[in-house]
Amino acid sequence: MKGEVEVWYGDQLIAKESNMIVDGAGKHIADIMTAPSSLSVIESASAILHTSNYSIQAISFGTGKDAFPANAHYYDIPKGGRVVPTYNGGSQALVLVNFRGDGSSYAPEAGLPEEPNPTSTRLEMRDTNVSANWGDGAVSSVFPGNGQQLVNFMPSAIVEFITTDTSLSTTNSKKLLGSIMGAFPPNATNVSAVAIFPDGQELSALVGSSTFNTASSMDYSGFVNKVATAGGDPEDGLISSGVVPYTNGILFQVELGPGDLQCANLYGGIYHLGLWTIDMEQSLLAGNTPPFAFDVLNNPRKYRLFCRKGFTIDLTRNSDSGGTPGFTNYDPSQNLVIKWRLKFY
Amino acid sequence: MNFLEEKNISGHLQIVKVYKSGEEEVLLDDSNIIVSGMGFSLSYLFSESGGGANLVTKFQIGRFQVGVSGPPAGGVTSGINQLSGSLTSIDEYGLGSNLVLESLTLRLDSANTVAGQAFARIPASKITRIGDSSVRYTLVLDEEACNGLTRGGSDAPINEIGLFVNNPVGTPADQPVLVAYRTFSDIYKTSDFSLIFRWTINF
Repeated sequence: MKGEVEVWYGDQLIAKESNMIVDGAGKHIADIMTAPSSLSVIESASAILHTSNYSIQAISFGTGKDAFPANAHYYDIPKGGRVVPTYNGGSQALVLVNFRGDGSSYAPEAGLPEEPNPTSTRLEMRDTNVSANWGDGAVSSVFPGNGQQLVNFMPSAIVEFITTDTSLSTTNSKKLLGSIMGAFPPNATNVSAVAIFPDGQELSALVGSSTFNTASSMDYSGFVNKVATAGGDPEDGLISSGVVPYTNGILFQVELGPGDLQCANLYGGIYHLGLWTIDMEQSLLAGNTPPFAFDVLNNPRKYRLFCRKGFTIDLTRNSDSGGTPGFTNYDPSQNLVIKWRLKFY
Repeated sequence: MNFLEEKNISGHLQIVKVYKSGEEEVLLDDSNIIVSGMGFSLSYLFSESGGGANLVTKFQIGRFQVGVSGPPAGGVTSGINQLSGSLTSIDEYGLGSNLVLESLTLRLDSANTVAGQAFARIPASKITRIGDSSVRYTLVLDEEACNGLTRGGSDAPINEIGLFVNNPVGTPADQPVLVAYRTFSDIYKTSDFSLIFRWTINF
């Protein structure tokens, strides 16, 4: 097995490189080969044997370790205080980031992504806890990521819902929490991105649309669900082709909208990609029963990393255009297109 | 651990001759060859385009064949998709043996098939997970199996064996696909001994 990732922005090829098939892939195929056929005669368990439980079912995006205690994830008292008087009203969520210089092309602090390692079970095996303390504990321990164990990205779009009936449900807490944890916007008009410059000046802009949260195809910990096989729209989520004749190849494709890119940039950029299968054992141990219907807020699917790709460049990078600041300068008509070909031979 | 970006499936075959006295003799202990049918089968699984094959059991290795014409004339390559001279009938496998035998259509690729091939089933009890990514298939040709084989009026030895995935394309009746293959030195099978094939595939 081998794979190759192409990343396109419009007609510009940003990257075309081989991926790494990790050891989890071998473990997954061994699971397939030893799945007990006797389950087929047990009505309540027969769904375990359905092939959809064993194919690639999700893609996720990650950033470098250093991005998590920085960028829009960074929280301090002055930043929190700034939210209350200025952005407390209305229904808009918020992305608040401290600019280091006076430029307006945001180059996130992320460090280099983790080196390729076939034993990886997550995109970034190093500590990716958000370092900000929220009351009694680290924010990431409040909402641990699904499958990846550590928080990767969490849609700020849903922070309002997941804090309902919790001590974090007040307006101020929600906005702060969403601004620290989130990385993908809900839609075109509900998120303000605010840049704070060293001299105290601010620059705000509305965040563009999110392809994933518009289609409800990303769960709270950042796994984008496979929404179609042999067809479908890659704006809605991950899609796969049928078998490409004579090559034993399959094309997986997904697109990130301008808002996804803009937000992901402010939260640290995208340096990792991963394709995931369902981890049957962990999904069952979590008390879920197949078929595992994808759910944004309470996803019964636990995932196993199948292959990964790390980049030394930020896939969300931007640059100023004349007087237009880079971080507000994503072309509203352009998506970032990821084409991932797996070849079985 | 594999430091390559690719992942290569590999296999190892051990052939043991077991006499009625219990004495054992190792005839072969060597790697096998994974053929293109493995990729063919996995691509159908991961694309979920297996037609009626929506059960993962259709993608499991569940059958084997032995043959008398190995190695192939063109050499042992990953491109082969059938044995050079598989046993031609269920009778040749031995009706008195403990093998579960079927006559099925062999699938060569997405377009071509060969009807009327004899296959032996691998019982679930003989499929063992021996590591995170390793599965062992234990195939037994007992004393009553594959004896007295002839070709052209002469005794014929068995000298090739293959593992098959059950039915990746998902046809109504199973159409197995060759995924692993190995030739070996001639073995004239008699009722004096059994042959045990311990075949480990590392995924």
